[in-house]
Amino acid sequence: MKSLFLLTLRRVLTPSRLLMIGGLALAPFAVTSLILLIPDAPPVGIFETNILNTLLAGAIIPLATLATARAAFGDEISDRTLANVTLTPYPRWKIVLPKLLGVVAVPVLVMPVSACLTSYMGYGADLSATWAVTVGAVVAVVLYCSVFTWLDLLTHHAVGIGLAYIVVWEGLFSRFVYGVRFFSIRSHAIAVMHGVDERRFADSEHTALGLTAVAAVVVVVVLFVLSVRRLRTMDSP
Amino acid sequence: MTSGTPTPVIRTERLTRWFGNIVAVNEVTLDIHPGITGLLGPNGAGKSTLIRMMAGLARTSSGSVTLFGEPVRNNPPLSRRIGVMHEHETVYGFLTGRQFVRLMGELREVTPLGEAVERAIDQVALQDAADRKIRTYSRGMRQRIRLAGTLVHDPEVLLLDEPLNGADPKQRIHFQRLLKRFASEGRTIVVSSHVLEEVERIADTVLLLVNGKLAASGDFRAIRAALNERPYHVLVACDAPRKLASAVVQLDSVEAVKLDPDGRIVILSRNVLDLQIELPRLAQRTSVTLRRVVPLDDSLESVFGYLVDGGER
Repeated sequence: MKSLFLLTLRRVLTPSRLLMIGGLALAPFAVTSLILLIPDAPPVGIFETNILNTLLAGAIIPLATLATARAAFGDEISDRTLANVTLTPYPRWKIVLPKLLGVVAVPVLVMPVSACLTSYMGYGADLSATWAVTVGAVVAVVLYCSVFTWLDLLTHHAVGIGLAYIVVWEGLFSRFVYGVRFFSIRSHAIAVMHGVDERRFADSEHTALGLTAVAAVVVVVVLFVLSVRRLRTMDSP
Repeated sequence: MTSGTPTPVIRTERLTRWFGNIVAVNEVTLDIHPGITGLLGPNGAGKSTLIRMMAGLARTSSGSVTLFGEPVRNNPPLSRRIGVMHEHETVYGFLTGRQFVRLMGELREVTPLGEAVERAIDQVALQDAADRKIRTYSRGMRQRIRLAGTLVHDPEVLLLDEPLNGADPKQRIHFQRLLKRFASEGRTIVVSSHVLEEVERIADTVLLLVNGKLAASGDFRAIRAALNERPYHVLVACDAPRKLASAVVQLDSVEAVKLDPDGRIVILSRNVLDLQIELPRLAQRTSVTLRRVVPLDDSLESVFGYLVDGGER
């Protein structure tokens, strides 16, 4: 399992991916810095809605995880090296688990750092709020990585479908259609941030922290099982 | 090939694979025993799909494939006994050759790993370049390091899909010797190729695959005999086509002669070897100058076409 984890990590750590993840991670921090330079800085509610909710949880984290999740199976399928990995005596879950951990490893370090710095600045060094946003970012990274890893096993058009999912589902439906929120990773990330520090995102309703935690675990487990099942039934190119 | 020696290592029964409306492998039933078996067929014949199904990498639409009597699909422990080198040449370019072979060994739970890695690299004679990144390798070197990765766990069955692509003549000879040695050790080796001569040099037995169907199988000499009996078209350009045509038609090796619209002769012969000897003599005797003699259908596809059509007649 260690070999597969390291192989996946090496695939994640390509210069182009690092550049992309680094650039994405800097974006919310840079935008927040610019906003704070404005003499009449906008209220915290605007920062939460636009920077943390829309930009960080709704665009930056999903885009970064979409890029890294490719390293688990998408790259292996497109360069036709997956057979090297599947022709092993390991049960299939022992292939999916290290690969999932490999693609989570980098964004789960980088994105929470970005979230931490951004929220520390945006909330004026409020440590409780900063901690809440950081935890929310970790949850979002794990959930998005699970979705995109499974998606890569499911279709050759994972990037296109992933982008459509980010824009249409997370960006539009889950924000404006009532009831869809429970099926949105962005909404769960925000619910976690609110659950850890109830002063944050206090303007709108959120799923209870306990329910969100259970839902997150269920989603990760279900997607893991679906990935294992897919790897078992699909053709290895 | 089929139902010969008892307990075949690989057995397929009515093995079929569809991709949408296209049938890649069509009801192929065969037994493969220890030794080298050549899987021969033109591009698109279904060789790679058949090998991938034998390795358990691809699903079957119907029929079955077993290795050592066990189903291969979703049978991870069986991968310890199989070495598969598929046709695609992509490898992990960011690894060195040695790291790649080591990784393949780790994934197949080889112990002791270090010894196995060095042995596999030695077998493909790539020690000198083993610590270079694979992305710097030539095509032939990539094939060799992939073969080392296939051999690292010392498999009993080797499924090699077009393994000689990109290899130079020296590497081909080395590879042929290596396979013959493995075969003498009692291993079962399936080598696919679209090059007739390549398979002829390596394989004891041959499976001819055309349009997904098993067109012929058996000893190479029997296949060769069938190929020698097939009629060939030969195009002849000369300065007096009608004169030569009337003389050529008298030859025993010639079945039919016709003149094409450009004034060239098209000869149908079942014995090209004799024709090769007789035609220049005839031209000399009749004072005709030969400008060009070209076999029209010497491609592998036409050979297969003949065998398949012949089988259906």
